[in-house]
Amino acid sequence: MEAQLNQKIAVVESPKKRRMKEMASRFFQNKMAVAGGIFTFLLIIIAIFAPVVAPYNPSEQDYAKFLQSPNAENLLGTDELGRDIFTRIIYGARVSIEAGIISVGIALLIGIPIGLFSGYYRGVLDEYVVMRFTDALLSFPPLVLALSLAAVLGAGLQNAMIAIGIIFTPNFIRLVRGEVLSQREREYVTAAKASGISDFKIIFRHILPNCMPPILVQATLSIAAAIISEASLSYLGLGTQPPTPSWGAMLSMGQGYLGDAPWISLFPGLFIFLTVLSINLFGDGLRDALDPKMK
Amino acid sequence: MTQPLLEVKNLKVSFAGKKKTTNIVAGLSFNVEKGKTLCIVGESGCGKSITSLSVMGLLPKTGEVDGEILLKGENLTGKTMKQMSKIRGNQISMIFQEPMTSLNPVQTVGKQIAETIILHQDVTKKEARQKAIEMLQLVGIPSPEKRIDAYPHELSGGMRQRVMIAIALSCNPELLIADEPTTALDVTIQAQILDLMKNLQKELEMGIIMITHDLAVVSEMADKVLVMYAGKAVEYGDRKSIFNHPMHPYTQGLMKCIPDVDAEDDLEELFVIKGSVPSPDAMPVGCRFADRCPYAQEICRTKSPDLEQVDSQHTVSCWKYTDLWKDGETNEPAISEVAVSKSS
Repeated sequence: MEAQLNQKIAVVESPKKRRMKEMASRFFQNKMAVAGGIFTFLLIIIAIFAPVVAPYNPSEQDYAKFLQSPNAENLLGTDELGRDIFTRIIYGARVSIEAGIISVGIALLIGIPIGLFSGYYRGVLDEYVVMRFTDALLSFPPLVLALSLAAVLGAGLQNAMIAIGIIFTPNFIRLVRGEVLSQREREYVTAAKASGISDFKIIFRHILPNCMPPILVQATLSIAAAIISEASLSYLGLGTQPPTPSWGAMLSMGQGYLGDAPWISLFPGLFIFLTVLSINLFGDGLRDALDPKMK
Repeated sequence: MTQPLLEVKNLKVSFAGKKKTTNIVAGLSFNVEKGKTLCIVGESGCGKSITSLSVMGLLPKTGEVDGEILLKGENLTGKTMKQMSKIRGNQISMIFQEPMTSLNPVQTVGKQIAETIILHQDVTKKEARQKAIEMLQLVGIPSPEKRIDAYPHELSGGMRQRVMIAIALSCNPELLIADEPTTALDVTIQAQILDLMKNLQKELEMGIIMITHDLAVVSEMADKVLVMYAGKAVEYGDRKSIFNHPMHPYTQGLMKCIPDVDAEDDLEELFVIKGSVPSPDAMPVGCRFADRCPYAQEICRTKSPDLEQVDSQHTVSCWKYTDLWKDGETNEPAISEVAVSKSS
C-alpha cells in the first residue's frame, strides 16, 4: 500500500514546473497578448540583427532618388536626403528598444531599493522626505519634466534615457513602497524575524519576491511609455541626434514634407504605434497570467 | 535547585502612544523548566501574545519592555537587535497561530527551512537541504523529498503548521514559544499537532511556552499553567492543582465555561463570565477582575491583590484567600461554591 502510494506521488511532476505550466497556459490563451509578444520579440530580433536585415546603410544618402514613394527598391520609400526609410526604421528600432529598456532599468535600479527601505522602515525619512519628493516629481507633467531634465543634461540619447529614467522613478518608488507596506504586516515576515533572519535578508529575499508580479507588469508597461517619451524628446530635438536614425526624429523630419511625401512620417509613426500597442498587450497578458485574481 | 531555562521576572510592557503610555503587561513573573511546558491562558487582549513577543524581542518599536527575561541566567532585555537575531531561531523559536500566512508564499518550504539552518549552523546548501528533508520527516510529512519543493499554497493547513514546526525546530532550540498553534486548525489535526509537539519535546528536551485560550489544550499539554487577566497573572501553578482546585474566581469561571456533556439537564445554558476585560487605558485601581467578580468586596475595588503562595505549587492573586477577607460581605454570589466544587 505504502509503496503504491509513493509510486503515485512520484508520477506527479514537481509543483514548481506545474505552476509555470499553468501560468504559460493562461498566457497563451490570451490571443492579443501572444500577438503583442510575437511582434515585440520579432522587433527585438530585427533590432539586434539590424546590419544583416537592413537592405541599405541607414545614413547613406542618394540624391538620385530622394523623396521616392514606396517601391520595389525602397520598400517604404526614401526621405528628403534619399535615405531608405525601411533601413532607418530598422535601425530606429534599436534606439527605441534600447531607450525603453535602459530608462526603465534606471527607474527600477533607483526605485526598487528606495521603495523597499522606505516602506520597510517607515519613519520620518519615508514620510517627509521620500514621499514628498515623489509627490513633487509626480506633480509635474512627465514630458515637461523630461524636457527640462534633458535640456539641463544636454541633448543626446544617453541623457534622454537618464531623464526618462528619472521621471519614471517615483512611480516605482510608490508602487514598491505600497507593496512592502502590505507585505511587512504579513505573518511570514514576523515568522522570518522569529527565526533570526536579518532585516536585509527579509527585505530582499522575502518581501521583494512577493512584490515582483506588479513590479514586472509595471516595468513592461513603462517600457512602452518610455519608448513614446524617447520619441517625443527626439521629435523635439532633445533626444537622439542626427544622423542616428530614431523614430521620433524621423517623424519630425518628415513634417515639412507631409503634403508631398507623407510616408516619411507615416511609417515611423506607425511603428511607434505598433510597438507600444504590442508591448502594452503583452504587459496586460503578463499581468493576467501572473495573477488571475487581479482582473 | 537548578536554574530554570527561562526566568521572567516582573515583566512590564507598555506602548507609548501619542498622548499617553498604555501598560499592556503589568508585572509578570514565571519560569519555564527544561523539557517542561508552561501554558499561558487568558482571554483575547490580556497580553499573552505581547508577553511572548517580548521574550522573542519582536515587539513593535513603540513597545517598551521593563523587567528581566533571563534565558539560562542571561538577560535578554538589554540585547541589541543583532545579538537577538543570533538567539532567535537558534535558542528560542516561535510558531504562530496562522499557518496559512506564516510561510512566505513565493518560496518553497524547503528553502524556508534551509534558510534558518544555514543562518545558524555552519553547513553547505546541500547539507541544509538534506537536513530540511530530515526535519520534514521528523514532523511527519509524507514523502518529504517531494514535498520539500512544494510551495506553501500547495499544502493543507495542518501540513503548513508541521512545516512551521520544522522551521522552528531545525536548529534544536532550547525554548519553543507556540502562540496558539492549533487555533486555526480543525480538531483532529489539532490533536495530531499537539501529539507531535509532545513527542518532539520528549525527544529534544526543550521547554515550551504554549499560549492558548483553549483549556482542552492546556489539560493536554501543560506542566504548569499561568492564568492571565488584563495584563496580570491571577493564578499560577502546576496543572493538576489548577484544574482540581481553581482558586481565583476568574479561573473558576473559565473552568465553568467548558460545556458539560454529561449534564443531566440538556438545556443547561453555557456559562458566561459577565462583562468584558477593562480597557488598558482605564484599568481599575483595585483588582482588575473586580467588576466581573461575583465575590468582589470593598477591598477588591480599592487595593490590588498580590500573588500569594497557597502551597508549594500554587500561587493566586485574590483577596479572598487573605486575612483581609470579610465573610458574608459578598455582593452577588453568581457562582456558588457548590457549583464550583462539582465542576472541579
